[in-house]
Amino acid sequence: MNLFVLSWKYIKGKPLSTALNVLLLSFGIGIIVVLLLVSQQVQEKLSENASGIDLVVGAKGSPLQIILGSIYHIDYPTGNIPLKEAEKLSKNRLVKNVIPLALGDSYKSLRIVGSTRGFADLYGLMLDEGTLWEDDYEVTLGAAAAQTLSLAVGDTFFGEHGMADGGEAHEAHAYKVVGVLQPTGKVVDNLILTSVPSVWLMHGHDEAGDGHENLPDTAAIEVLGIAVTPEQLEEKEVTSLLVQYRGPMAAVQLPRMVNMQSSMQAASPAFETARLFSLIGIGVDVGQGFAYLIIVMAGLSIFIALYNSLKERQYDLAIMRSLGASRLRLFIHIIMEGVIITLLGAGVGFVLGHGVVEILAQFILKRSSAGITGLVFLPSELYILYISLLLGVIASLIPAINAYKTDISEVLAKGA
Amino acid sequence: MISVQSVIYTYGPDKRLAFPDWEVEQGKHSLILGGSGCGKTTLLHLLAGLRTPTAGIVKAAGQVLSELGGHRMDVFRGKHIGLIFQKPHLLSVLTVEGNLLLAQYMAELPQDKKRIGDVLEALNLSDRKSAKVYELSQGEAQRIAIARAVLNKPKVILADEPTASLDDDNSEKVLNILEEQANMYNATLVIATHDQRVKSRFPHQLKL
Repeated sequence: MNLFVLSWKYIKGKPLSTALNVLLLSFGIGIIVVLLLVSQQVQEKLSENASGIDLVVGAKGSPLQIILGSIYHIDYPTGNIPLKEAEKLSKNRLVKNVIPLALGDSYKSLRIVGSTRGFADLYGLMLDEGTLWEDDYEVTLGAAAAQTLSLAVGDTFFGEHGMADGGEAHEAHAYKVVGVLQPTGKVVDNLILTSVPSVWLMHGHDEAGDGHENLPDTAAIEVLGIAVTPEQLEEKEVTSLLVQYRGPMAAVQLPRMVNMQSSMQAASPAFETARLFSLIGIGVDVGQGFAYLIIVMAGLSIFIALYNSLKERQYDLAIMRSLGASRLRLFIHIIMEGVIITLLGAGVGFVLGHGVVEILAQFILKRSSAGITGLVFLPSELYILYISLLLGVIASLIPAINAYKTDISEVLAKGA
Repeated sequence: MISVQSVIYTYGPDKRLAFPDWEVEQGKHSLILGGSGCGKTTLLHLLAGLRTPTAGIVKAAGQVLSELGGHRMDVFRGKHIGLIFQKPHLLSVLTVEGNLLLAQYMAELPQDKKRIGDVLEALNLSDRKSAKVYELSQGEAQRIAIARAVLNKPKVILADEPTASLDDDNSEKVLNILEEQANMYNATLVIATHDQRVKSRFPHQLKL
């Protein structure tokens, strides 16, 4: 026998009231855990995917859309930009590196991205098998893409126009898988990577009369890591550019320069993701507010349950005193009861929250491979534990003070 | 020994109880008699240190109770004074054994299940050890309450109307057990009662 066992017996003695309080609290804590895990991981993934990219340049339009389309590959591109202008930008002294992206096609909802080796270097891509894309129509698949599409090295498929499922197929030419990448936990896992000319070639057949895609000029020049003819340099377009700055001055001058002096639009990933997150943040705040409200209600419910049970338990408390228990012991006994209930609620809430996130990640987000998991523990969760401990103490404080002040003689005389 | 010297207890401004001086030698079982409202329970609670007198000296188990305060009084009571009430007041969330373990725990004594077994054996309640409180009959519950009171081998056993809610048969039994147990531990048994069935039991009496 000790105070913990004693408090536990009283908690077990009222299973329904205990279950209600534990459930209520675990809901509140579960919601907070879910929001914490998801928002934290989404934020992490957002900045992880944008790391190394100082600026994205695309066609005029919403900067957020440019970022979403070119880094996270979730929104549609704002349009195309002339290769000529891209080349001019890459020669700017403020620019260290420019990686071109040619977007617009997909296969079974997975995006086909035309780019250069610079792209592979930027994301630190490692091959699981095969090679990186080299010649026209060769593709290298992200790890998740290979799995979802059930494609392996040597397989072929027809790309579809547009980014949604069911676009018109480019049946003139099939893409050929030459390699599969190792998983990175980033958006790249879901992409189909190929060269920029491959994307041009696919569309070249749609635009009748453009007849020299298959005949690269002997006088090929290299622009942005792509071998092109002077003619192609004048005519061709890319979707966007991932830009790395040469120095800190670039951050100040380059975006303004691009926006003022060209037909292109510059978008800063850091700024746009922060803006995006502040938009999501409103929803998170509302959810959190709701969760705290539930937690306060749970605290109130625990308080009422304890307060009411104390009336029934006044003889028990008086008997404990008559058996030698000090006032302080009864005080601790009641506090412990509140704390045990809140710790139970917190425990169930943690399991619930992590479980929900993990189930969400496993079954709903599986295809998008957002890289979210319920099986990580964040330091901030410790605060929730402290908060629930504090809640237990606060909820049981008044009942505990009442127990402390119980006039045993009076109670015992009454029930003589 | 027990002694009460010029003890006055005041309830609020207008209700004042003055108790006659009284002395009980160790092992001399006694009765406190009187109608309801004359202060029997109050005197018993003063002897148990559950209340502090407004004036005067109360001694129980050879100790001047006013010298002990707070926690020390609680522990002294747990170790040396056994209390029995009209109703058993067992903790319904615990088993019979749990209730007895509680008495040892609260008195800060080692928890000794063998001792509990022995006391239950002596009271013929061995088979009720794991019973829930609500499974006990009224007589059984009162006997468990006695077991709880004598468990820590107290020097004084104070019983407040222990027979009031029992029938003649059970009343006789409970009184016999109380006396027998008190004798076994050489404890002084003091019963406060207005029950006619008890009056002739012990010659040493205090009438209030």
